[in-house]
Amino acid sequence: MKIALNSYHPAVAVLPFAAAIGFSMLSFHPVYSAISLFCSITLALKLNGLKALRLTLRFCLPIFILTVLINTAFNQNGATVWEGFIYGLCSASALCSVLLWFSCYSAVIDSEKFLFLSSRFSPTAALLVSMTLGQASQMSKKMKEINDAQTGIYGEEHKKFAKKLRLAMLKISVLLSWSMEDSIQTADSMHSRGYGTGKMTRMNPYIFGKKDAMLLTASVALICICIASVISGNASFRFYPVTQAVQADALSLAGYCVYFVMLSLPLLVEIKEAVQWHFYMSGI
Amino acid sequence: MAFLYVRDLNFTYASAKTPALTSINLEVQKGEFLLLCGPSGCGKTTLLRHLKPHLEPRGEKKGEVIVDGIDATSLPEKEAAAKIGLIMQNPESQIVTETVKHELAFGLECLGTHPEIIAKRIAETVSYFGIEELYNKKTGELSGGEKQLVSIAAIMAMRPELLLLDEPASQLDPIAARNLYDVLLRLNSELGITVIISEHRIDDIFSIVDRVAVMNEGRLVCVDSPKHAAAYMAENIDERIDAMLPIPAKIFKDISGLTQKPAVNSADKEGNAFSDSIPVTVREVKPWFEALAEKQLHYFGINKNNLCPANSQPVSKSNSKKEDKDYSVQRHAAIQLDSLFFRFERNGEDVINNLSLKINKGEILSIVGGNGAGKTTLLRLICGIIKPYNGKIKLSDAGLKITYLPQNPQSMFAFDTVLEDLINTEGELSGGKRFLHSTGLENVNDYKISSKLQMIIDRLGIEAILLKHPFDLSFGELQRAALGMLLLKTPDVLLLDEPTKGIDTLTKRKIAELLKSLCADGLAVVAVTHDIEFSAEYSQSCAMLFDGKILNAEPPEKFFSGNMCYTTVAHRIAGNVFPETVTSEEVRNKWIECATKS
Repeated sequence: MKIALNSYHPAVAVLPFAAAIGFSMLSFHPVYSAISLFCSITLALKLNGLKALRLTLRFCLPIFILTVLINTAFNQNGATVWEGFIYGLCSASALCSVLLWFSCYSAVIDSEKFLFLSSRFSPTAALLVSMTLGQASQMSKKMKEINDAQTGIYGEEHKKFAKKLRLAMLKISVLLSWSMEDSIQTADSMHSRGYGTGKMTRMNPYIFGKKDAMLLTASVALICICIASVISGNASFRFYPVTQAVQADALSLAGYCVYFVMLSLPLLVEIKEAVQWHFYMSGI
Repeated sequence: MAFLYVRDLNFTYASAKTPALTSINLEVQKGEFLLLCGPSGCGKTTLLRHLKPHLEPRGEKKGEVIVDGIDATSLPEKEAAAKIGLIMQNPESQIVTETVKHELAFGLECLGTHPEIIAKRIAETVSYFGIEELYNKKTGELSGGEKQLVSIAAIMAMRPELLLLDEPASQLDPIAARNLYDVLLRLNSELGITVIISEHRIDDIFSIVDRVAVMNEGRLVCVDSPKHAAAYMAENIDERIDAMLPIPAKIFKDISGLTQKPAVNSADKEGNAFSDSIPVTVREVKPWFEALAEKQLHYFGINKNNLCPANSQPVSKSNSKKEDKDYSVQRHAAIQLDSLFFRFERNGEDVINNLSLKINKGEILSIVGGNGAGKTTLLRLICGIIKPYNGKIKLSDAGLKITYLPQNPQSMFAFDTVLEDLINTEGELSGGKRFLHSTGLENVNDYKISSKLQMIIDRLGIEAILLKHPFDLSFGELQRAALGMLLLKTPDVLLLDEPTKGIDTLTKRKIAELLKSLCADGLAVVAVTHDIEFSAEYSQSCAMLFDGKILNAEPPEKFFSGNMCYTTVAHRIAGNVFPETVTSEEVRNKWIECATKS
C-alpha cells in the first residue's frame, strides 16, 4: 500500500512518531494511554494493513492481557484490587501502543532514512551501520552456501549431538575466515575510492518542500502545546492508594483534544492525501 | 606524450623470493583500451595494483609509474582516488554499503563532494548506464553482473580518467560478461576513458580492444594489436600462452598449418601472414575457412553435397539411430530423476517443472542453461539438500554416495592449511575418530597422512599446496583441494556447480583431464555450467535446462550441431562444412581425415 508519509522529508516524517513514542512512554494517565492506543492501532492498520492486525492479535493482545492480569493479581500498592487493575490497564496500553508506534515508524522510516538522519550527527557511525547491514545479508548468503557444501559432503542427518556440534563449529570457522578474507577486499575498495582522505559528506536525496514545512509547523505547534499541558500537571494521575477521578475540567478536556490531534497527525496526513487522490481521480 | 608510463618496474613481494614483476615497460596512450592477459598467477593483478596509487602491494619496488606526467606515488590521495578507478574481481566484496543509492554516492562522499553535486552526478551516471531499475534496490538483491555494473557506475560518478579492471568478468556468466564488455567499450569510445582490463579468459574481449599486452611469469612478453598478439600466441611454444589463443585464431592456425601453403590474402605483402597477424573473429575466419574447404577438400574429391547447406540433416538417419542405441545400452544409470517438481514458495513458480533425467555411471554429463534456469537448484535436489515436492529420485542402490562441489569452494575450508582440512574431512567421514580440535600451522607435520589420503593427493597433484592457507591459493588450486575433500568420501556421483568459473584455459583442461580419469573409474560426473566450450569438449553427454525441464540429453556433437547461436565457436566457423564438429580439435581431425580420404 502506498504510504503518503513516505513522500515527506524524513526529518519531518520522523517527528510525529518520536513525539508519539515519547509521550506514550512518559504519560501515565488513563485517557492519554487510551488515546495513544486507539491512534496507534488505527494508524498501524492504515499503514501495515493485515500485517498490523496480525501483530496486534498475536503479540500485543497477549502482552496486554498478561500485563493487566499480573498487575491485578500482584500489585499491592493500592487499597483494593481495583487500583492494580486500573494501573495494569494503563501500563498495558502504554506498552502496546509503543510497540505499535514502532511498527508504524519502521513502515515510514526505513534503514536508509534512519541512516540519513543519524549521519547528521556522525557520518562515520552511519556508514558503519550501513556496512554492517550489508554485511549481514552477505553473511547469511554465505552461511547458506556453507550449509549446502557441508550437506554435500557429510550428508544431512546427524543424530549424534557431538558431531552436530563439531560441524556447526566448523561452519562458523569457515564463515569467519571467508568473511574476513572478503573484508580485506572491501577495505581495498573503500580505500581506492578515497575513504579516509578527509572529511566525508553525505548525499541528500530528499528535498524539503512546502508540505514538509506545513507538517513541521503543525507538529511542532502541537508538541509544544502538549508539553505545556503535561508540565501544567494535566497528564498526571494518582493511582494509589485510591485512584482519583478522571479530570474533566475545560482545560483538561482541551489537553486531551490536543493530544488526540497530535497523535492522529500521521493518520490525518494519510487521509488528506487519500482524499486528494480520490478527487484527483474523479476529476479526470 | 603518453598518458601512462611504466618504466623498468621490478617488484618482489615482501614474503617472496622470486620477483613478481620483472622489468615491465609499458606506455598507454590517452583513450586507449588495453587488454592485459596471461595465465593465472602471471602478475596481472600485481601490475594493475601498481597503476593505482596508494594501493600498491607491499614489497620491494624499483622503477617508476607515471600517470599524466606525475609520479604515481606522489599523486595526492584525493586526486588519485578520483582520477584512477579500480574494479576488482569479486563482485560481492567490493560493494561497501547496503543500498545501491549509497554505493553510488560512496566515493563522492569520501572525497567530501557537496551533496547537491553528488545528487546530480548520480542522476547523470544512472541515466547513462541505464540502471534506473537498480537505483532503489539493496545491493544484496543484485546479481553478480549487476553488482559489477553498479561498481563501475559508482567509479564513473567520480569522473575518472583511467579505469583499471582486475578480471572483472571472471565470476560472471558469459552473458553478464559480454554486457560488461559492452559497457566498457561504450565508456571508452563515447567518453574517451582510458581502460586497462586484465582477464585470463579472453575470447570475448580480445577483438574489441585496441592493444593486447601478454604477460608470462612476471614479464610483459608482447604488447601489440590483437591480431599481432594472436600471432605471437600462436607461435609461442609455452603451453600456457598457446592455450589462451582465441578459437577462431586457433582454427586458422591449425588449418593453415595443415594446408602447408601460407594462407595469405594476396594483399599481404609481408609474405607470411601467419607470423604477422591472424584473424581473431568468427566473422573473419568463417568465409576464409569455407572458401578454403571448398577449394581444397573439393579438389580432394569431397562430394559437394557434403558441404552442408543450412537445413540439411547432418548424418543419414539409420546411422544416427544405431548410435543412439549404442549410447543408451552401454551406460548404466546411477541416478534416475523421474518427473521432479520443485518450487521455493507455496505460491511461487515451479523452478523445476516435470524434470526427468538419467545420470549414467562413467560419463561426464554437462547441463547447460541460462541464468536463473535452476541449474544450482537441480544439483541441490540431486544431492538431497532440498526435496522435490513431487516426483522421485531413484538411486541405483541405496548406499550410493553423492558429493557436491559448490560454486565457491571457499565454503568448504575451515582450517589454516589445506592438509588440516583434508585430514579433518577424512576424520569426519570415517565416523569422527580423527577430527581436529584446533588449528595451527606448527602442528601440521605431526599429522599422519593415511594411504588413502596420500593416493588422492598424488592423483590431484596437490602435494605442493598442502601446507598453504586455502585463501592463498588460486581458484583452480582451491577447486582441486576441495575435490580432494570430496574424493575422500569415495563418491559414486560427483556434482559440480560451475567448475570452470574463474579459471584459465589451461587449468580448465587439467580439471577436465582429472574428471575424465575419475569417470574411467566408473564415477558419474554431473557438471552444471555456462561454459559451452567446456561442455562440448569434455562431456560425453549434454543436456539443456530450460523452463524447469531437461531437453534431451545427447552427445555433444549432436547436441551443439544444428544450433546457430547456442553453440561452440568452432561449430559456428566450421559447422557448414563439417556439420558434426563442435571443437577446434575435431575440426582439425576432420580436415585431416577428409584430406587423406582421396
